[in-house]
Amino acid sequence: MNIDTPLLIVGGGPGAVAAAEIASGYSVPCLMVGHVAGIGPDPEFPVPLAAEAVAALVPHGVLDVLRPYLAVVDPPTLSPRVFEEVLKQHSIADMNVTVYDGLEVVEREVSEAGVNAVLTDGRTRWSLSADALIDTTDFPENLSEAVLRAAAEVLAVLSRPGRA
Amino acid sequence: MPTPPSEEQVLAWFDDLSNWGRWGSEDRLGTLNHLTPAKRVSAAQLVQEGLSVSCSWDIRTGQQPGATVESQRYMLSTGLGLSDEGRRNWMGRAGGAQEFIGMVFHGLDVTHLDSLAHLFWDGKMYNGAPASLVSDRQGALQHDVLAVSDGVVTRGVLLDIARLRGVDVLDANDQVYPEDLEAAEAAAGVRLEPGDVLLMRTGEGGARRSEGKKYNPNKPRSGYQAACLPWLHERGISMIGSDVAQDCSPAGYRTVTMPIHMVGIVAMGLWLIDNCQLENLAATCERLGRWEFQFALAPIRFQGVTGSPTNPLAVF
Repeated sequence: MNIDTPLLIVGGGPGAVAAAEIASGYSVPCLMVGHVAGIGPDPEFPVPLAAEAVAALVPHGVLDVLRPYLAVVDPPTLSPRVFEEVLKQHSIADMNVTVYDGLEVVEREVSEAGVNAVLTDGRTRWSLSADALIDTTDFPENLSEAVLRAAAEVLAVLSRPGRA
Repeated sequence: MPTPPSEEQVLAWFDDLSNWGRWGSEDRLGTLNHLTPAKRVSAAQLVQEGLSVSCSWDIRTGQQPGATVESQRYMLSTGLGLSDEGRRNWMGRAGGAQEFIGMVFHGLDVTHLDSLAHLFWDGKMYNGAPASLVSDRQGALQHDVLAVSDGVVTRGVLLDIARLRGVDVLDANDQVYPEDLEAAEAAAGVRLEPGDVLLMRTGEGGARRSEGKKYNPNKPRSGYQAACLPWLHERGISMIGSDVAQDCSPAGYRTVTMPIHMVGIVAMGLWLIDNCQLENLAATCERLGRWEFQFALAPIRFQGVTGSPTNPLAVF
């Protein structure tokens, strides 16, 4: 079985789930692999979202998903762990997002044409091709900055010539 | 293994298998139109042992296996502190408990029914209703779960594909094709007919049960291959359920990642029960030597909601 997806998202943190949900808001199907929550320095401590981050989330309905879980409504305040666990649960039920945990992307080859790789759970291997890759490994640890980086990366994917 | 249909073929099924207009422009029942009063009467004859089996998982108010977010439960009043000094007075013999519950039931954990407002394709719901009829303020103004407020009572059939293969759980790459459904029919000595509810077992529920909180549903998994869609259409199945969220994953399609959900709900008006617990039902079918039963499902009568947690029952 081969997996062909417009967008592959790898890496943990709130930026990964933000990217998945923002991409979904643009109707871009994506595959999020190996997301792990709570990897920042202080994932449990509620922090306010900056106005720019809120502005990046509102058009895609992402802030509505978070609303029942906010510690403070205005400015929207929540911990990075709550942010990513709530959005991840939403991603699992999102028809545009496929979430695979406990799997790894290996043999990754990235080129202008896209990404070719292998997805494996240690027993089975799936050939994986994607038009674009977002790797959140070097995303900022600050929640608002991670959201803004995710939004910028999704916009960069959307602006690629010949995107699906 | 059969050859999977191409993505172009699957996309063509949005038109070829469409039930839009088939039961009128105002239709809200979709494939439940196949379910007739005579079918309900016939299904009642299958109750012979007086035995009822749940096809649902418990909904934990702590964290579900595989879920990242707990259902919210706030106790509004409890039995704590009733013996405290001053708490009871001469009239204080009565007490009670209440709670607030909040949850997201769509996903891969809670056993739930998808209403026909759950999914959109090209901005449309089943029967051409615009997706904009589902709004923040009012929820689903069309195709909410109230379409089945009188419940679903019909014949249910369990097709146990894991049993057919002789395995505990199907491998992720072992997708279920119409040929498998027909082989399971033959093994069970039944044939699916219009108005029936089809429950298909992959064995994933056994893994969920044995692995407990360590269970990970977010992985490649077996399920109905898209090739089953014409078969379900031709047989006039009113509702399907399985111990996964119906679709195999990866489905192998770039734009339609969950074709059973998308083509089924939007084009066919097919009702889906995701994440059934079929282990007890499979054991009962095995013990009784029959894989057909009376099926009963009554969703919560939520106004404007895109589905409902549910506890489907198989009655023998």
